[in-house]
Amino acid sequence: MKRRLLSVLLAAVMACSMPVVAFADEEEKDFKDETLVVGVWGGTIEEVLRESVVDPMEEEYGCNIELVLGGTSERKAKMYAEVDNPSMDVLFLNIYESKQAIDDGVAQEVDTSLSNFDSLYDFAQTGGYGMSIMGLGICYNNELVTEPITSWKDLWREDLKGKVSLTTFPSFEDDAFVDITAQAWDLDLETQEEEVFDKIAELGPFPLFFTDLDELFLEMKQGTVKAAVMFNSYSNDYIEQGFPVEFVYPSDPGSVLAKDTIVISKNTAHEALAKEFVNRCLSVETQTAYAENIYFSPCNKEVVVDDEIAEKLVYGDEVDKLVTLDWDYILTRESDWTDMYNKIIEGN
Amino acid sequence: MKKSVNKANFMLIPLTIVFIILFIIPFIVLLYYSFLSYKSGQVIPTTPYTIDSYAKFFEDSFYPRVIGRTIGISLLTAVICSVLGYPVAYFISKCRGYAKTILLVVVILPLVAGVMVQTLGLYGMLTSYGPINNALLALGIIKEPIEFLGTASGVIIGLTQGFLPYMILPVMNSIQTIPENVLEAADNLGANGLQRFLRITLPLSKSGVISGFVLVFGCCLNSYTTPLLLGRGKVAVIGTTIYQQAMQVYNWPFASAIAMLLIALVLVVFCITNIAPRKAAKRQEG
Repeated sequence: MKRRLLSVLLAAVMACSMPVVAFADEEEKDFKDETLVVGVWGGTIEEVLRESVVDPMEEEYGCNIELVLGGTSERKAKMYAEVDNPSMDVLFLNIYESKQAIDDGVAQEVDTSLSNFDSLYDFAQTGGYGMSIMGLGICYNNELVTEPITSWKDLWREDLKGKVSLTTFPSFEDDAFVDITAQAWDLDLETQEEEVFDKIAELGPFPLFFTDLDELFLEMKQGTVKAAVMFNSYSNDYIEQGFPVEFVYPSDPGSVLAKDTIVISKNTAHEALAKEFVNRCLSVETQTAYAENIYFSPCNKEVVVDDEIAEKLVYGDEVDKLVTLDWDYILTRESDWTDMYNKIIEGN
Repeated sequence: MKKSVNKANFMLIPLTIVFIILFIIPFIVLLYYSFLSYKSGQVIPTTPYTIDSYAKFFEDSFYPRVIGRTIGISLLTAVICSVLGYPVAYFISKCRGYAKTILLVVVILPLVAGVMVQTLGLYGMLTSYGPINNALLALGIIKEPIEFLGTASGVIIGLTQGFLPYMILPVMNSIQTIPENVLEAADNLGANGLQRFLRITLPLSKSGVISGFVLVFGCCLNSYTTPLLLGRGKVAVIGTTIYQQAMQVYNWPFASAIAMLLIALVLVVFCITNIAPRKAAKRQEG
């Protein structure tokens, strides 16, 4: 009996002291033994993030940072399904997913009090914390394609017939490409959707709908694929590895703005640690590492890189030249576009 | 008179609980989701309840064609597995000692490795610049590389390789249960090897072939990884379509409706395959 009473008292004392301890932790940034779960892409992004943010934070605070690797669609689905008890505290999403998550109340609004927040470009301060900028353009095999590609319409050239690759639908790249096709061929996306998809079908037969970049670049090297709709950062990475490819920011209407964004789950149990993590990601050091190692253009305007790196990035004022699409409209059409895309693939 | 309760039946309780949690409840949730409403751009489905998702499936001819393609690929794979698996099962069942153990391990090994590992290995083999095409080119059998990837034939090769053990094991088991004295009797009555096989071994191992066929067919119907990787996003089957609708378009009601129709289809197949052998057996008895 005595022992039971003692246990109850001990539990009561512990329960009462917990809020005090939590408060003290927050104040002193003591995150010891806390575990933060971050959903992010794998590959080189994971490597840089681990080196620049995860390892230094774990060492400094004694916390654990778990990276859950994968694509944004799974992350987004999980985020909505687990809104009351999120398994991921911080999520890397793309430009329209993060805005939608905040609008739908599953992700937190940005916290303007973060020390690195004011260093972000204006476009990186809304709809989540802007992490990096990319330009969507065309990557092509410059040994097999002798006449340079300069505009989006060049993809419909006879020498590229049946040699253009897209990603599996739906994706940022494909959604954007539908809009770009309409703009390039002066078609009205709202009233001439079928014509837009007929135009895309003209590029076929498609040799590959890619999900894996290694696979795509091997096919580009072999010549099965001659051109692909892709981000500048990914292309630069493979150019660096020696693949015979070149990236172009196509004209008419131009390269499309893509932004990787970070959001914090609405009901995260580790809000302070999550904000510290995000703040580190936005720092000059991390953003510079992103730019120099994987050619992701910085969202922090204080980042300075040398000319050779700058050439491979969408840097400074050049960001304004990128085309911003109406993602709110695109999202309302994505389901129907998927059906239309499926039919193109089937008739491929 | 008081009816006695077999206490051994209580041992089924844990499995029943697991079955209810892992199958019945998700099934009910899925059924419920299939009647919810969806609007493009929305992630969480809402009420009012509707049969729009089922209507969409039958209105758009693409989706019934996906079912047709999936059934076609699954049937063909099951047939190929039967043809390839039977001789292997026959051979292993006749082996003894270490040889049998080693062969069994070789058969089971792909199951242990997992679908992803197998498919990735096969992917490298089947590329236009992979070892298979290179060998065929070097031998002068072909002049241009064969496109295996991104085609239904590539997917069938992958599924056959992945699910062949599901055919071999039940067939081998049924061959092993044929009594030796029956075979000896056939020999004594003057049957040659071929006659003995066609009139004794094959009919008596039919149940194994049917079990293997149903297993392979069922696995193929639900497959996702192999069609995704070897199909290169160009061979739409039920598994890849459900994933696309649920995880990429977030149209959970439609994905659930397709899943429900798939379950219905599997049930029909299993009923037919269960009824057909019984009727055949009854006819034989009669």
